[in-house]
Amino acid sequence: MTSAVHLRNVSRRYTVGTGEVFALRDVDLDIEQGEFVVVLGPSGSGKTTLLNLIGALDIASTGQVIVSGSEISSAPRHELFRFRRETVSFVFQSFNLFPTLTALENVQCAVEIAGRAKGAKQKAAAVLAEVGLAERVHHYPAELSGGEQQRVAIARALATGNPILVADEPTGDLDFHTGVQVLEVLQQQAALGHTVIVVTHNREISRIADRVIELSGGRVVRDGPPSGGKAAVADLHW
Amino acid sequence: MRLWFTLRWSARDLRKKWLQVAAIAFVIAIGTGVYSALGSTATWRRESNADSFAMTGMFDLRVKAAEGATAPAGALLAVLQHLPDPSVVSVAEERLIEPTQVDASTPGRSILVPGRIVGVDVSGGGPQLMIPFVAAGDGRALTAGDDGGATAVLERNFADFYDLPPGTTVRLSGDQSVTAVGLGLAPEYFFVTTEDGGFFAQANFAAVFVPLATAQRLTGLDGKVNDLVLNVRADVPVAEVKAQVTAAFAAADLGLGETVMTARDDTTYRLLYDDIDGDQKVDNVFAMLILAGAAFGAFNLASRMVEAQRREIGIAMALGSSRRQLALRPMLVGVQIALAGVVLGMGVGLLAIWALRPVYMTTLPMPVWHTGFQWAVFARGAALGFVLPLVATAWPVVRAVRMSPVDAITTTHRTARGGLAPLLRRLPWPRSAFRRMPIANVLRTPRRTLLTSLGIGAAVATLVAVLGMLDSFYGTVDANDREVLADHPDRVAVALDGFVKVDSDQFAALSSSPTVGAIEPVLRVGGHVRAVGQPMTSGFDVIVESIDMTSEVWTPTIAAGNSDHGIVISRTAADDLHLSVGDSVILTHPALSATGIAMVDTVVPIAGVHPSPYRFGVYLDRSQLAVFGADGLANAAYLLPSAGTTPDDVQRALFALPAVASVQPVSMSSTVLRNSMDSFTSVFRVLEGFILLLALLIAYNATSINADERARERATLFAFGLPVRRVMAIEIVEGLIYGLLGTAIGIGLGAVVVNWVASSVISTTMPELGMKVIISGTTILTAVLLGVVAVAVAPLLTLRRMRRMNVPGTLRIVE
Ligand SMILES: Nc1ncnc2c1ncn2[C@@H]1O[C@H](COP(=O)(O)OP(=O)(O)OP(=O)(O)O)[C@@H](O)[C@H]1O
Ligand SMILES: [Mg+2]
Repeated sequence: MTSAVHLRNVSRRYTVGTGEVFALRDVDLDIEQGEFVVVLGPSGSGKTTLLNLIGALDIASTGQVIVSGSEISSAPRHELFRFRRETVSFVFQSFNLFPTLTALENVQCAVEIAGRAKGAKQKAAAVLAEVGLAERVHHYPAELSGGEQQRVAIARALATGNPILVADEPTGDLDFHTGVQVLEVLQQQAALGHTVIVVTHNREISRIADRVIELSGGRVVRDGPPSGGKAAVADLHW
Repeated sequence: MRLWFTLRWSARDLRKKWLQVAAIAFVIAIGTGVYSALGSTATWRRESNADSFAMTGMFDLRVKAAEGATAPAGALLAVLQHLPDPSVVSVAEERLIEPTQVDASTPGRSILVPGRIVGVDVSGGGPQLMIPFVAAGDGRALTAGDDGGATAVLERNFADFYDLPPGTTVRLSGDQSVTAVGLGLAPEYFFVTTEDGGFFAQANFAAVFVPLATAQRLTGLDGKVNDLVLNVRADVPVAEVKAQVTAAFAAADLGLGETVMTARDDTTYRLLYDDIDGDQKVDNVFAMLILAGAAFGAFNLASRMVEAQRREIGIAMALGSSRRQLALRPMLVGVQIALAGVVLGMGVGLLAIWALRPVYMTTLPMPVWHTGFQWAVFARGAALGFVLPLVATAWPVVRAVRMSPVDAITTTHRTARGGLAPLLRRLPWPRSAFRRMPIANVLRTPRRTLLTSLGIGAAVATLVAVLGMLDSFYGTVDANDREVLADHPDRVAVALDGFVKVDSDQFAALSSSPTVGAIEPVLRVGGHVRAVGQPMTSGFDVIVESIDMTSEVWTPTIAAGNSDHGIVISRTAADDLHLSVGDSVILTHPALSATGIAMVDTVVPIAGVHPSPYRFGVYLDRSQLAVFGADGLANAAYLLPSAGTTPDDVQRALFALPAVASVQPVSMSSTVLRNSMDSFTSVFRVLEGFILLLALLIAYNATSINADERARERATLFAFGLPVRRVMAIEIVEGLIYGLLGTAIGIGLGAVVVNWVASSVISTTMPELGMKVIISGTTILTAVLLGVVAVAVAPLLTLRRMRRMNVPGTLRIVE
């Protein structure tokens, strides 16, 4: 069986002025369906770039990217749109909520975009409740705290029901309690068979992952189960 | 932050937004350029008048003999020798001017009009005063060699109206004919008026300039003259010489019954100068309107462009920048826009002049036309065009600086405070959050919605105002046509040489012509109406026509009241007098008395009103003529051609009759009216193009700025896999809503402007016209096409940008 995410010899190069910057360099990676993967690495190591390639927001300069059986690196444009709609859901580092839509509508909107207009509103309300925002559904992004906005963004990604969920620093702005809540939700998704890829600076979070991938200077420098074994969310402290 | 650093930074801003900056500058340029051109028309006309009159030798003084009186050639010049100082006269020439009938018919068309033979002194190689100027391509002027020959210069306005080329042979009264070797513009006929004050008379009046000896031969007045024109030395006051000339002629007692006139006593001269200010007033309204539309559009766009930088301003505030430093960068963008706008404005101004010049040259043909760039007017427009972008960019800076840095930084997250969200909540449709998105964008950011719609509205309003003016003018002409041409478009109007009894032979000669089907005698006199108890200075001039109100030929429509006891006046006139049916007016009219014809006042009731938009038409049933002591008299007639004959046949048959002065189909007067309207409105036609461009630019810019503001949202939608086409659909729907709002605002505003122009400007510059405000379906359609369709389609212009969007880049940017 093919893996959910399959990267071979992948590089992402930027030309800046006369020089070249490698955001990613010769990355080989396979992630199985239902895996909960944490990507660790210092700032500028290529974590966001990796997520963008997996989510088909960006195209590799060289190498092969196959996600859920789709060859992204060579797919035509309209294929990419369909792919994003049906396969990967994003939680962005800077929330990117629609400012003129309420929390509920932001989530509802994503469900509709994914092509499930029927019952979208109920679905959206349910997912918002899951991330602890049942009381805030009618708030606009401007009326929510940073952490709440982040949770709406997560709810928006979850609600699409896409098999792969990628999250860039989802707990960065959250307090411990809320952060744990979010991680539990993400873990639950993995348990339900979704592939979850979380990017973080926070080594502590990596303890609850099935697998930790460490990047440095655009290369994979470590790949394996968390050192010290997989921990439960309840055991985390930061 | 040093200045050069800021400069470089702002140059970078410019590079990123050069298209928007250029478009805003162009909007300003159209405003200032058109403003400067339109605002210059009075200057152009004054200069052109002055030089044209100078070049054609307009008289300073004219001695005009009474009708029928003549003097031997040389006798008039001799009188000047008896002036206290004969050297005050720099040039003087004698002329012979006699009425005639002109037949310039071409094989396909009868052209039979009253006219004048103007015999001029060619002994010096052509006249030095009152020169019929022949332009290149219009044949040649008269020379000394033409004296006595059958050559003439034909008045050009008449020739142009009937498309007569040089070389045309015209027949004159007494079976004479002359060949028009040239078409000429003479100062008395730059603008053709008739003795009784009819404007745009080129269709019904022909001046034929011939050498003096030829004129004497054609009229049988050998060796006679009846007119003297002269110019006064520059250092002598004309009024003084006028008094001396008047005295000298009185002393000479030539029995001429002469009048001494100055240039200002000449109708054409006076009209050409007096109309200038009134016309400029109308032009100014539109110049201002375009400038205001452009100004508002530019202000709106420039301030929104800077508004988008608010977050950066907040960050700079957080870093401790001074207000001056904060303001500098956005203001530099303002300066760039302003400078580009003013420079481009000169170009647009020249373009507008280039477009307007032929309009003036054809509608008011004069030998010299000056349409120079007027720096003073341009400077006035440009000052506004320069200050405005500065204010527009300073405004959002001031707004940003007033708030705390935290609020400024978080603008993107706090743009939506809900706005009109309660309204949205109650909106049952559409249910889908995705479909609600464009509506949500519109309702929840009311400030932006208002600015965008107002920007579009300003452009649409300008367009509607100009098109609405045209609609109203032509609607008025159409209304007049409906009234005048009504059931019988082939009606013919006959003017007689004088008053005749309806049962006289002269009148019988008309009615017995086989070409005449039905005939209606008309007594037409000039008069004046005013409200009872008001002085003569109130009220206005009218033309009183006594007709048989039961005639089958033509009667005015009676919109209210009847025609039994009193006069029928136009509704416009009644409104102007603040009177209605049953009220009385003072009618000043000519009446026969023991000593001759004198003007008398009669109080008459308004029996009814008719719907003509012109206020000068007053009708009186012939049964009431006895009251005015004019029972059975007529000096004109309306008639219908008999079965199988055309107005042309009638014209040929009746023009030859001795008592007939002129025969014209009534439709001709409507054509002339339409032509005069065309000349007035062709300026607006030129404007139309500029305004369309202006509106498109504003619409495009509003959309393009909107797209910039929404870039992140677009990218987010792309990240969720929404295809370009559906993102585009959201923006088109949003644009459609702005367009609808803007168009509604624009049409409303435009209608207000048209109403205002009609009620306050036109009513003072063209008081005889009761303009009906009409905004046609075509105008509404054009406005909707522009305001809704163009605005909604504008996002498509950003399609390329959207397709090539760097999604991760746009998402990551923390603006
Ligand atoms: N558009 C671009 N042009 C040039 N270089 C870029 C571009 N985008 C990213 N980079 C470079 O690629 C490298 C990886 O960037 P990336 O955003 O993936 O880092 P990251 O690991 O997500 O960092 P962080 O934890 O700070 O978010 C960085 O060194 C960055 O400078
Ligand atoms: Mg990152």
